[in-house]
Amino acid sequence: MGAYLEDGGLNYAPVVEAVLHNPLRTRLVRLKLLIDTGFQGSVLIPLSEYLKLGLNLFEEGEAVAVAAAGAEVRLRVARGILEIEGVGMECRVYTTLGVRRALLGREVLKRLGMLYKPPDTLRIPL
Amino acid sequence: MPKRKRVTIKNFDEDLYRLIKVYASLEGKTVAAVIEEAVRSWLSGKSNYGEVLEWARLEEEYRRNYNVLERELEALQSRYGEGYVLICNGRVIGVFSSYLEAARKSLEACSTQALIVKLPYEKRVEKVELGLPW
Repeated sequence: MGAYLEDGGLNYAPVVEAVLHNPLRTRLVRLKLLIDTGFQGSVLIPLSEYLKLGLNLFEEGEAVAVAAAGAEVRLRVARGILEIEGVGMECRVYTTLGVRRALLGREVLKRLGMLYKPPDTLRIPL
Repeated sequence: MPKRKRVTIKNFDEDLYRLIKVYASLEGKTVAAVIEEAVRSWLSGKSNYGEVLEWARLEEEYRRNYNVLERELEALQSRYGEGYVLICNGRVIGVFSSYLEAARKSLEACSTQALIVKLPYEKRVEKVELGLPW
């Protein structure tokens, strides 16, 4: 497991390897989560992974995602347990139609202390 | 066997309809069967066809269960006050003292979709900022 920057050709996508469990820890999936600081929630996964975990049997209330362009889409949401480097934390797991990559959002980054911290000075010469 | 539904299509191309009838008759099929076959073939070219079907199935069951929650919420809150309500198969399965108890029961009693909500429940839509389209 680990956190690293993936694929120089794609400008080094920041990735965290993690294991996601359903709330009873009866099923798990291994994921490479792309860190997405534009995503306010904890974890967004493709519907196929959501169903592998059986999260459709642990769903909670109504949720919608608001995209940067302002469009709203319906989200499914359930509890899950996210395990990174052997440490598990309860989190909300979201999915919607058309998700192709698993995302790790600001809610988890905040709890892990992995918040984006820009340097004091930029490296780009003006 | 899928559920059947009567569907009326307005402004359908008349010549095309005649052709469908002729071919259906030649092949010993119904018009509905030919149209279903054509639509299935069209859908198979869509990459997330299976996912959309699965989503629609979950969504239908979710709506059914959420309606039960809305209908029963007041009574559940006044009777139990606190706890975790489990709803599936269009009915309230029970109110449990812990989330894990409700989740275990869900695994045992539910199949397509289940809703577990904490009492007291405040009806509101959670809005999550997603950033760019994913």
